[in-house]
Amino acid sequence: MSIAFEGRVGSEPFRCTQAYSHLGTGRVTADVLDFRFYVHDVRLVTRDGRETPVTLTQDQKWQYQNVALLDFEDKSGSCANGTVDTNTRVMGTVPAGDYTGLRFRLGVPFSLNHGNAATAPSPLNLSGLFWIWNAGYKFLRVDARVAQNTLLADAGDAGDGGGGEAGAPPVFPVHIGSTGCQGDAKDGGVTDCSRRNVADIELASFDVTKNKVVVDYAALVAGTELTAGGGMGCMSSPEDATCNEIFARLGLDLASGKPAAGQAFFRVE
Amino acid sequence: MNRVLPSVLAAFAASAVAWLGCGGSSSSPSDEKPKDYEWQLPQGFPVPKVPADNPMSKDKVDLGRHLFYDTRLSGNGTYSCASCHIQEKAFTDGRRRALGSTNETHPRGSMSLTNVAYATTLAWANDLLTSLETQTMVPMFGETPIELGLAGQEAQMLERLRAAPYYPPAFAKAFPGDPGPFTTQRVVEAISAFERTMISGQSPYDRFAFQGDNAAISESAKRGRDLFFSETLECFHCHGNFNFSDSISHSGSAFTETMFHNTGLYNIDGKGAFPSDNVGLKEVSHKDSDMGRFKAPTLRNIAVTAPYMHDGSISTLDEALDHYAAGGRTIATGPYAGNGSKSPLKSDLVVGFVITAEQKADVVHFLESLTDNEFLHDPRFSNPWTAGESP
Repeated sequence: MSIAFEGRVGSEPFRCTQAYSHLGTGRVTADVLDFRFYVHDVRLVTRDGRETPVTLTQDQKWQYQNVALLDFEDKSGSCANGTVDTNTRVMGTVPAGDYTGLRFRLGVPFSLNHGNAATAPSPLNLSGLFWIWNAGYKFLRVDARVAQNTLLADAGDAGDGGGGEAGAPPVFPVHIGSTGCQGDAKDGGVTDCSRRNVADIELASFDVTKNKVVVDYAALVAGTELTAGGGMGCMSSPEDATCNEIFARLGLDLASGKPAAGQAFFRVE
Repeated sequence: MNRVLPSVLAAFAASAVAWLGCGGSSSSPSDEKPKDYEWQLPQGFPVPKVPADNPMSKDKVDLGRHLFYDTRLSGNGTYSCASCHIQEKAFTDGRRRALGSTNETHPRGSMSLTNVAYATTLAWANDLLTSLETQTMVPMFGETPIELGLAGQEAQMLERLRAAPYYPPAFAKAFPGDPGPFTTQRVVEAISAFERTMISGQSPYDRFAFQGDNAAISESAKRGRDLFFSETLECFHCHGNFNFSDSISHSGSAFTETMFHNTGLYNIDGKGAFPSDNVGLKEVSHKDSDMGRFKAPTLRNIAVTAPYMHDGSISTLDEALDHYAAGGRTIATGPYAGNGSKSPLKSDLVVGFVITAEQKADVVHFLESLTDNEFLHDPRFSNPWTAGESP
């Protein structure tokens, strides 16, 4: 059994070699630099509402235990720091049944999020997804570089608002991961995180044999000005107002880091 | 070139090659256990705590030293660990704020690596980084800001190392029995082992305090020492013990202390706010009470690690003393204006004190007596790459 995913920017398929226009509230054009995310706890839902966990195929590469990495970038074009390989499906098994819906969580489960990233098994050992200073992973990483010629005329003069040094194209990273983590000073392990920032995604009306999960960057940033954030984009800080609309579209409450209704990043086609 | 037959070499690999230290040319793994590292600790110093899964060995330390000074450990080949940690500056860089390999400015200054083996927490303000093995990955793979710029490039980095003639035998000796030692984890382990050897304890003050040489420091420095350890100045609460930092542990420690303090450097909004790019431990914990809390770094070699504080905002030891004497810093104008001494988040040990110019000079002389010239020039910590084999 395989659940298909497709990277999208609005109506267009995602590619590292293409710039996309009309992004965010500023309607800017941007290259996407990375587009990867972890999901876990994948379940199919029967017509009568019961959940059946998908047992993921342990392929030593994209899937480990109940976690899978979806990877739409292929290291070409603007995606210079990613990996050549891509992965657009979750592979696994479920008992036969009348399944009409799909649920999963966006992120890495707590039990795997705070181990040693250098010795973790694939796909938990990709340094581009390490988030060492927060003792975990970037659950979702999708970065964009805004094209200079689509900026508002005064955006470059707005001090730090333009994102980095003068002349540098503003980059808008979206890095979602657990924050507010507390460590055990003695053992070095993480005991808890006040904002886990794991989204609960529910796609009703999903036929695994016919449908795919569309993952739409344009929808993710639809309410966000991509030249805001001073080059820091949204890095999951509960005090970063730039994250407000991003979190809303991921189905997360920025203040608490808990799941919320109304995600718009994933849809069924 | 391997001039010894493999079977013969295998028998001698651990004994002869390790002893000679420079004859190793085999890249095949050895099953021999490396010799324990000999600490050669200064008088009065405890044995550092070493993680059970990364034991010390001379070969591992040697490898770590080469890696520490190798620009192959940056994404664009321009930077090494040593670019921001310069031995003569007690492994700081003299900048207010560090500069990464891609010219990105770090919000904070490069921390001294002096006696980092004893530190329980390894960044200015992150209680999650409690081992060198973990911390080392921040400069390597961190992207906000970019330091060494290796995110997504670990395979290329390891390939560069594998291709350098020095490394295959060096990794094999450092990690005997490991048929595939070219991994991020092994790189991190070797660098950490080398960093643990950076122990400074031969300053004039050490000769005075631990080695019984009463003439090792001046009378002024002795008066400064008494002031430093007095309840008037309160310095020793955060900078006490043999390492002059309160977040230390060693092999004899039953407890692990990890401390962070707000010393009233900023009070932007009257409620204790720090500049948004440097909010201290709050950045990691998200707790309001952690605003402006930073680690008390070791004061060993402090005279050569200017400028001071996490953001390099204090230029001299004199000014640092003024800051503490005032019980916090007042900034009159500009975006960071505010009276730090009135910060509600300030440590209750930063209460201020009255000090004469002469007393201040005494304390500065004491702090200067912590400079360990042997450490700053010890060939064991220097760049091992000679011009011919330079990376």
